[in-house]
Amino acid sequence: MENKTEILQGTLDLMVLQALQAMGPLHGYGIARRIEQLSEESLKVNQGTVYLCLVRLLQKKWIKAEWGTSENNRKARFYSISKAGQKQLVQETENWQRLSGTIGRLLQLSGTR
Amino acid sequence: MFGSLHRMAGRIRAVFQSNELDRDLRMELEAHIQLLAEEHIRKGASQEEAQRLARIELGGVEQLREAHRDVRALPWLDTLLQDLRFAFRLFRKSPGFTAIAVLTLALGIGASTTIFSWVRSVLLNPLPGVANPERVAALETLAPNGEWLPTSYLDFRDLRDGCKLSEKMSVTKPMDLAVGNEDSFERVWGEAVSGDFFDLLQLKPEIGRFFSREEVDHEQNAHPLVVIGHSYWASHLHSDPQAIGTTLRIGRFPYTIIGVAPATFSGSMAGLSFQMWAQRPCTANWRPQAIRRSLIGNGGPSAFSCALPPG
Repeated sequence: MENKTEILQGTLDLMVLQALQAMGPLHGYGIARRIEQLSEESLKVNQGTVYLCLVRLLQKKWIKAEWGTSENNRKARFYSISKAGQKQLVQETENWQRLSGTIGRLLQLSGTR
Repeated sequence: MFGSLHRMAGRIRAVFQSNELDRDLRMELEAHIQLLAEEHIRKGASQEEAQRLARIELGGVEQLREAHRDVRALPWLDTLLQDLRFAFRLFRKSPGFTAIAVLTLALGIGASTTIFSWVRSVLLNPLPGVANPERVAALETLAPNGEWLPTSYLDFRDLRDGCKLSEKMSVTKPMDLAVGNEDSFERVWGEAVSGDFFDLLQLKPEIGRFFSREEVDHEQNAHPLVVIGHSYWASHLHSDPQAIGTTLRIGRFPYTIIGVAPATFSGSMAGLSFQMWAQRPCTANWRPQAIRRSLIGNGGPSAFSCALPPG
């Protein structure tokens, strides 16, 4: 537990969009699980915050929601990525890579001194 | 820009659909907990233990609900509505207090409004509808001890012709007029005026005309003509333009309506509202010495008018 990293503000949006892009429609539980698996349990995801992230994304119309039935036969809400969401995902991915590249170089530089 | 507007509308909608959205979220979270619990059961936990672990893993549902509400709606509007509902409930609980509070406010607002409308009509805008009210002044004759003195028509004529400070001078006298025939008549407040009264105040008639050049002769009883107020025209004559030229019985005499004053105009005395202006009507029983004078005039070399309140 101590080794898990807190999620940076804003990056959860990106992770959720990515999860939906890769997996197709998912419910909240599925999204939380998927993020945990992909991060190999190194990220601390408060499962509840996934739902806050989902409202935000719905407001921005980057995802859509539909009621359906879960694998244990319960009523669940399934989320899927929208066209605008896909565009946003591409853009955010670029931003993120640029930022992490910059930070990586910065840290390397200060490491050599 | 459009997107943010859209989001705003969505948030406002969300405030009013709060219960529905809360139910949706509860259902969603319940499904989530069950899925988590099943997972724990597969790992060998007991039914109860699995439920407990699932709830811990998800985090506080109540907190989540609050946070969810803040994200999806407008927290301030939500709080405002809650406060309003709360206030309303409190009012219902103590009707006595509410009644007193409402009454206090009503009386307070009523009194302030009344005072303000008086201040406005008496001090701030004493002659509504008049073109240059700052150049009009009221004159009246006073005895050395401050008593109001009656002024005769002849005195007025001397003043008008002899006073070099004013451009024009007119005379008015408020009077209550009996309008109608013997069977049914109505008391209407009007002013007896001299012929150039409207000319001095630079008023334009709504329809019809005011007194003409020839009628501005200050002769007593010469012209049984009357100008009526806009509200009298509307309430008694249905704002009919055909009313011009018809006669009104005032006192025992028929008067011809020649024009309608503009809607804003209510006479030459601040705070009072007059409905008719006649060239000194009812002059048959008018005794010059019984009239007090107050002259409205303009400072400087411009106009001068005078009003005669009742004797």
